[in-house]
Amino acid sequence: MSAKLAAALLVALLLPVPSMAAQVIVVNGDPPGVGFNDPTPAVPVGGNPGTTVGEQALYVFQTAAQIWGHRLVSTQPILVISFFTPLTCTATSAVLGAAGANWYFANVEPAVGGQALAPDTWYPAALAEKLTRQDIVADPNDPYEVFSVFNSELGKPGCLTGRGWYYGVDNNEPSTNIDLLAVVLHEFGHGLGFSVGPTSSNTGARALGFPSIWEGQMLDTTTGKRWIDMSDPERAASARNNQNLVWAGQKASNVVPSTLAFGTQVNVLEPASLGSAEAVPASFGPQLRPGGVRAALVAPDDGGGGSTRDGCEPFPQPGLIAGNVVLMDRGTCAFTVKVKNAQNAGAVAAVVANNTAGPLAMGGADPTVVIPAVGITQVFGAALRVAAPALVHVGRNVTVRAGTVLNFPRLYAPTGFAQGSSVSHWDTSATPNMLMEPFINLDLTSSVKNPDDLTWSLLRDIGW
Amino acid sequence: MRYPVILMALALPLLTVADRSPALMDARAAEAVAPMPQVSARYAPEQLQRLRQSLVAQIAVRDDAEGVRAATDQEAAALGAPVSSVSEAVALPGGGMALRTDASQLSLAVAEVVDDGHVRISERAPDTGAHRSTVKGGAHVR
Repeated sequence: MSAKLAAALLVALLLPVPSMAAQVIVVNGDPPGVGFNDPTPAVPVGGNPGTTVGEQALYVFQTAAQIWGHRLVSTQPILVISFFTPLTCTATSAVLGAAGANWYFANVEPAVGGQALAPDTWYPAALAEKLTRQDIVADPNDPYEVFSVFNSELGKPGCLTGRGWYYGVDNNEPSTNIDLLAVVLHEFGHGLGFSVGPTSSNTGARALGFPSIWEGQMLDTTTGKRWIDMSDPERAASARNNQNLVWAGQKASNVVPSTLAFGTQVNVLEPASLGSAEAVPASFGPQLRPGGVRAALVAPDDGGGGSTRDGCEPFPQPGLIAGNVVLMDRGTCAFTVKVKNAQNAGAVAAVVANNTAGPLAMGGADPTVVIPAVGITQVFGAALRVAAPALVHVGRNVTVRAGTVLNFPRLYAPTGFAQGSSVSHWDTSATPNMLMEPFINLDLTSSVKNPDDLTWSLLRDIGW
Repeated sequence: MRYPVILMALALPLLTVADRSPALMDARAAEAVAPMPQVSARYAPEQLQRLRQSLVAQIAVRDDAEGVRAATDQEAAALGAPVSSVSEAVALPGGGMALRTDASQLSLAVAEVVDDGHVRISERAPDTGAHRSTVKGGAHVR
C-alpha cells in the first residue's frame, strides 16, 4: 500500500459522506385542533409513541416517509403535503385516502451533476428533481412534490363504523382495524412514481402529447408493442388486455425469481385434450403440498339456492364428492363458505371458476378451512364443467412465476376497465401479494423491495 | 495499524447505506419523527376546499352478494360530485413544462365491509361510477 493511496483513503474518510437516503418530509396541512392536530387523547400503540390521535396519525405518515426515504436516493427533499380530514363515508364503506404526484415535469435542464430527462416525457416531480438535482418550482405557493389526503373519521359512527385506523407501526393490526401504515405506504408509492402518470389509461391520451416515463417499460405481450410506440386507441385497448400487459423493465424482471412464487395450475390429465390452465391459490386454507393434489374433479349440484353450481348450500350427496376435487362457480356467497361446504362433503380440494373475465384470486378468512382451494378463469371453468368428471392435478407450475408473462410481472389490466386501478398497479395474480396491487392485503410487510416486493425495482426502472 | 485505518475508510461509506437492520431502522425512525412538527396550514382555505370536493366521489356501494357493486347514478350523486379532469399546464421559468395534477389522477383507497364481515381495501378513481372487475377484491379482505 503506497503512502499516496493511504493518504487518499484518509482524505476520503475525512470528507463528509453524502447521505444516500432521500428526505421525505411530511408537511402537516391541517389547521389547529383537527386532523393531525386532533388533541383527542390516545394510548401509545404498536410502536407509535403519540399520545393524541393527531400525533399518532402524523407518526404513521412520518414512518411511511422514513421507509420510503431510506430506499430512495435523492439530493432533493421530497415534500408531501398531507391532510388528515373527513372524506366520504357510509356505515359500510369509506374513502380511506389517496396520494399522488403533485406535479409532473418535462424538458427540465439538469443542474450541475444532474442527469438529463428523456425529452418530451413527463416525470413525477420527486423523480424529476432527483434526476436533475434541483428543486423545480412551478408555483411558489404549491411547492410540494406529493399530495396526500386521508380520512380522519374512519371508525366513527356512520364512517365504516367501528373499524377505525390501526395506528401501530408493527404490522400487527387487529382484524377489526385497518392498518394506516400499509395504506399510506401504498399511496405514497403512487406519489413517488408508481403510476402511469398523466397518460390516461382509460383513453390512452397523453397530456400535451408527451408520454409518461412509464410508457417505455409497458409491454403488451399480445401485440409486442410498448405503450410508448402505440396510438391512443392501442393504449386504451392494451389497458384492457387482461393478463397481457406487463412491466418490461430490466430491474423488476431481474428480481422476479427471488420475489414471486412458482405459478399454480390445474392440469387436466384425462381428458388430456383440455390441457392445463393457470390457477391462483386462495388466501385462506392450507397451501398446496409440493406434489399438489391428483384426484377426480367433480361438479355436483349443491342444495339449491340461486344456483346449484355455486356451492353456497351444503352438498346433498357427499358420496359424489368424498376424496375428489370439487368445481364450483363464483357468486352469491363468500369463497370461504363454498370451500367449507366442499370440505364438509369430503372434498380434498376446491376449484372455483370466475364469473367474469380474468383470473380469480379468492380471499377471505376462515381458520376452519383445511383443504386447499384455487381460482380459475370462467372459460376454463366452463370447459372443466363439461368434461367433469375429469382426472386433474392441481399443483405448482415450476416453469413460470405467479403473476408473470415471459418473466415480466403483469400490470393490472382487467377487461372491464377499472378507473383508478387499471394499469397503475401490479396484477392481482402476483404471489405473494405486492404492496402496489389494487387491493391492499393482509399479508403485506412494510418492505417495498425484493425479496418481499417488486415495487422498488419498478421505481428503479424509471430512474429512481 | 495501517490496515485497520484503511479498512475503516472503505467500510464507512458502505455502512451508511448497507445497514438497514430493523433495530437501526426503528431507531432512525424514532429519531426522525420526534418531535412532532409544528402546525402549518399550507393551502388557502378555498384551495383546500376545492381539493376536498374533488375527492368526494366515492362510488361503490355494498351489496348483499359479494360485497360491492357500482353505484347507481342516484347513489353516486348522493355520495359525491364528479370532478374536473383538466390538468393545468405551466411553463417553467427556466425552460420546460409542468403539469399540475388534479383529482382525476389520484386513485383512492376505499374500504368496504364485505358480506362475511371483513373489510376489503381497494383502489378506485374519484370520478367514475364504473364497476371494477373484483378479481382479488372479491375476497382479499382485511
